[in-house]
Amino acid sequence: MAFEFAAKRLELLQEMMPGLKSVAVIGNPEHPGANLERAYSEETAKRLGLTIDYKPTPNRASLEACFEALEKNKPQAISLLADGFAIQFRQIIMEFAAKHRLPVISGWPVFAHAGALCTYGPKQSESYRRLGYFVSRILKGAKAAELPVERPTKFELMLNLKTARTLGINVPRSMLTRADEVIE
Amino acid sequence: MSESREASSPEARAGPRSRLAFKYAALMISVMGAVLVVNGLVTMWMSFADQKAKLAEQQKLEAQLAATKISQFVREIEAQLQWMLMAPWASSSLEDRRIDGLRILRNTPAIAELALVGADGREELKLSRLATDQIGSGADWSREPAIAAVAPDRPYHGPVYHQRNSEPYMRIAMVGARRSAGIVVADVNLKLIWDVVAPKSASASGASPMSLTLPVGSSPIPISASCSGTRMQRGSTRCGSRLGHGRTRPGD
Repeated sequence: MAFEFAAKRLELLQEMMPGLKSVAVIGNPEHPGANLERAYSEETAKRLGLTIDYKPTPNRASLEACFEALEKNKPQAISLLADGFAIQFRQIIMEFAAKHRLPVISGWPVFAHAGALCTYGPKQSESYRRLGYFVSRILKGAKAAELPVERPTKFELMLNLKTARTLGINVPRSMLTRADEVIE
Repeated sequence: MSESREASSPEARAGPRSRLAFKYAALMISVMGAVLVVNGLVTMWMSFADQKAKLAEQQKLEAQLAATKISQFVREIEAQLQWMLMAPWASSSLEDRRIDGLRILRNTPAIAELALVGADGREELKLSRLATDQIGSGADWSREPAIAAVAPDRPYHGPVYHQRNSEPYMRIAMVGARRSAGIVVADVNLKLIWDVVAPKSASASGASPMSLTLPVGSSPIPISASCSGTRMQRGSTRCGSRLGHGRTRPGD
């Protein structure tokens, strides 16, 4: 499902930035589904008339190299694929984005708190609650192989209006209507 | 002579009498034992029948409670969908209706996708939590059962289907008093009903399943409750705790 969110986030980004044409997608290529996220992002970008610059960053050195490349060929925004790597280096990424006035969109609220313009993804508290439910079922004797695979059903959109103001982005009514949480 | 004297002696007479008394005692004990055993069995059977009746009653109450909650769940969604069809809004712009649709998605987590279809069966608007939104795509919905079956006084409740062999979904469609104001179609994730229903299911074994019908609008939804959980079914499909036997969305 993460790959579908990667595509949806591009749409949301374009809704906040109507003149958006180029987006850098930064992500760890080693996390499961990274290729699908990239493929979905590229497919959606074509449909939305965007140019995608995919930057695989499996480690700190590649992240630094990515920053250098982005300084030379500056995109209009960054889509950050959410995973442990992105969490670990979120401050560095947000500092780079703030320095170059680049809005960042990602999947988990932690990135909005770190300074991303917007995050949209599965509601994490709900996902953890379901995780507890599955653990309970297994402890009560259910076979893990027989338990159904569940897709997230509850999602959350977080807007950081402080970042929006800093970047001079006027967040449209449609985005404010969707928002589950707003940082002001 | 001496033998007959011996036979009539008290010791000789005591032998047959004691054997008779023993037989009486054994008979009495057997009869009483049999009575006690039968009484115990009857009591056990009555207790079992009583427990079974109580369990059945409890299951029935739980199933009715679940049915009420499911009915309420569907009605709340229908109440939200009504906002898209109210007359004053019908004359508003597509962007205003889009905002209305986004509000409905925001307020109703169970709705995964929301579409507004014109009276001519052409899609005007499609909002999704996962897929990209479509505005004025003009996709043809005229052959969709939801569009053909829905009427002002009869909301459409489609069959349960599974998206990608995962969660069960149901399509609900509504139309206002004026068909020209459009038809609103929502794909509802029924997993959110499970949160309401599943913990309330009866857990005792040996109880027979039962079923009842939800009075949702004019399209009743039958549900059945069994000892393994309360299930919701429509037509030949049903959603239970195991998935993977699903079918695709109507119209896909």
